[in-house]
Amino acid sequence: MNTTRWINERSLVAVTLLLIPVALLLSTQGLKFADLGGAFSPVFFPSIALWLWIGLAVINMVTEILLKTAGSPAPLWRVMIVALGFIGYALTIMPLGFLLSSILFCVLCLLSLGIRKPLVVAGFSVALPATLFFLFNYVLILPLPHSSWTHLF
Amino acid sequence: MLQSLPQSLALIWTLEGILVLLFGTALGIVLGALPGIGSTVAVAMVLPFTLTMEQAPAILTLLAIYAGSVYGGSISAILINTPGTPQSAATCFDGYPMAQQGKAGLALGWSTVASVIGGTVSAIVLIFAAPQLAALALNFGPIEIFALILLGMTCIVSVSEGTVVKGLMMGMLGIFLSCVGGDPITGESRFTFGNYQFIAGFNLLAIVIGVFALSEVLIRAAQRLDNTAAMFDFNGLVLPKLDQWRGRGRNLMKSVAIGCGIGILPGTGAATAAFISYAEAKRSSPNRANFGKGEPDGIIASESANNAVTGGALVPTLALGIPGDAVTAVMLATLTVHGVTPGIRLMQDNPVVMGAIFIGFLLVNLLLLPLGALVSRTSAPLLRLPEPYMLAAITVFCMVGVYFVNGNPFDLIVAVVAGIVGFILRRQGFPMAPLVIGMVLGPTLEISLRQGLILTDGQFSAFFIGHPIALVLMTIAAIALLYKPIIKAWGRYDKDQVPSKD
Repeated sequence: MNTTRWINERSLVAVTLLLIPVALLLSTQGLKFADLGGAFSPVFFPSIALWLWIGLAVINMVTEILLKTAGSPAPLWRVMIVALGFIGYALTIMPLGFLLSSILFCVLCLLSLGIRKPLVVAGFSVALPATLFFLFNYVLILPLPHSSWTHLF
Repeated sequence: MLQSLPQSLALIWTLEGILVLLFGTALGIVLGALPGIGSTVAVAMVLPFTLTMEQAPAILTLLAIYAGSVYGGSISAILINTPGTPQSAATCFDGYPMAQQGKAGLALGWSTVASVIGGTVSAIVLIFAAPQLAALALNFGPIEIFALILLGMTCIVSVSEGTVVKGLMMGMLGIFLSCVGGDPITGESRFTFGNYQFIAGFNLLAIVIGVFALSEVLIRAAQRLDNTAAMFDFNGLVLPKLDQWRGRGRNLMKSVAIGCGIGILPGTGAATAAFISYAEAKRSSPNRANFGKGEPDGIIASESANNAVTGGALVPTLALGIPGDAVTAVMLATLTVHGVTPGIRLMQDNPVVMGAIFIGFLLVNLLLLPLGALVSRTSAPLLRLPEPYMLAAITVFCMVGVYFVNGNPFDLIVAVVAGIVGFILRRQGFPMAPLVIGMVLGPTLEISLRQGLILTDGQFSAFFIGHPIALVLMTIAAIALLYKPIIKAWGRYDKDQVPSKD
């Protein structure tokens, strides 16, 4: 049996999109405020949305299984590097400051997307964040995050 | 609002007011011309730069970016056969062949004049229709508002062309995300799982930037990056002569009417209007044989309709607080950031600012002509910029935008997660606009439903009795939701009845 016909990106997404609202709905069971009942209950409206989501997710899952299409084997290594870059950027922007974290992200992004000229990579990666840093901190007076060890950047 | 017209004019007739109109429109054209940015991301990217401005100039900047970017999309559609925004996709059909014939400047001339006329007429429609619509809805109670929002939600069906179930799922996800945090009636926290960061709920702009901009960066990173798009020599915009317009006025007016009408309908958006208008022009034009080979009527139809949508789409957004598509949902969110809450009371509470917005929007559309001529020539070389630089720049601008909305680093994490999830979902054909519409309309839908139920002692059937406006609105919503599947099913049934020739 060809397992990729059943276990592929498409079916995994469909199952996940069914399990999430089920789990969220189950999490509302037994909550103290749920005793309020009816329209007064804080979970009254979200429960309606979750039930509708579950119904639609079931239809979607059945459709995806009936389609029996395998996921597209697109090369995702570049996406994974950029996505990891996003996560790193979001997590380092406060401790490292906007300027340093942006420079690091730009270098990673340009290299992973195929720009190989070191001077161009370095020039762009410094020029763009530095311009924005200067513009926001000194022209618009809307301070961007500084690094935790110096007030300069 | 007429009484406050002098004060509204005074808000615009300042150095700051004039500069924001000029720079906002020019920047909008440039951002719209760059493929991959689009109007939604352009508005979100520029938002942080407006935070230090006064209310009226800030909103005018964002409106200028919106209108400018819709027009700007035609520049790359004509010069490199890649629409800068989805709204300009239909412009490629005739704009690019015309450029291939060595008439890139003239093609841009047709698109510029058509855009200016379309946008200006739509601004006039906005000025007259929005106050009337708001006045009509002024006496609505929670049940009528619920029915109205429900009608607005049906636009999810129209923005989910071909993927209605997936679109509705995203709508429900959006509604759920809007429920995370404090309950609007009891104040209790819900779905926070003990994390204090969730108590304030998810920031709409962080989600919008994530699912539209950051996921787009990932999608483009997944594709083979092509930096070799051929661009034709372009020595400036050439305006069509008056006699070249002969026989094209009817097509222009029809396309503008299609754009304005479709713009007012929630959910259809500028891209749909441009395609419908193009199809209609192709059907009715005396030059229909030349369509697809560089026919000016094709450019006129597409560009006048997509720019005519801008003012039309702002009618329900400003007057009722119901955004028609992702761009107007972002516009609505940005207005809220600037202390303007779109909705039924907007015209009553802010007549001066609203007057300035209306006049400013009209001026922005008129400015498209001189600025289009100026900026299209200077921004054309930017189209040769290799995509990796643009993707890195988009990400950095987006992070700045997300950070400045609340100054909360948690929003950055929300945007990144939304970007990665958005990428996974978009790969599987899930549309993102319904998620944003669900998130925007969710809170009002919830409050009006719960207030209505409390007023009627929990009797939902009472929503239909004694509330004729609500009944009419809900009937229209039901028709809007069901007519496509019924017509589709009827079409299949009809086909089955036709005996096979074999």
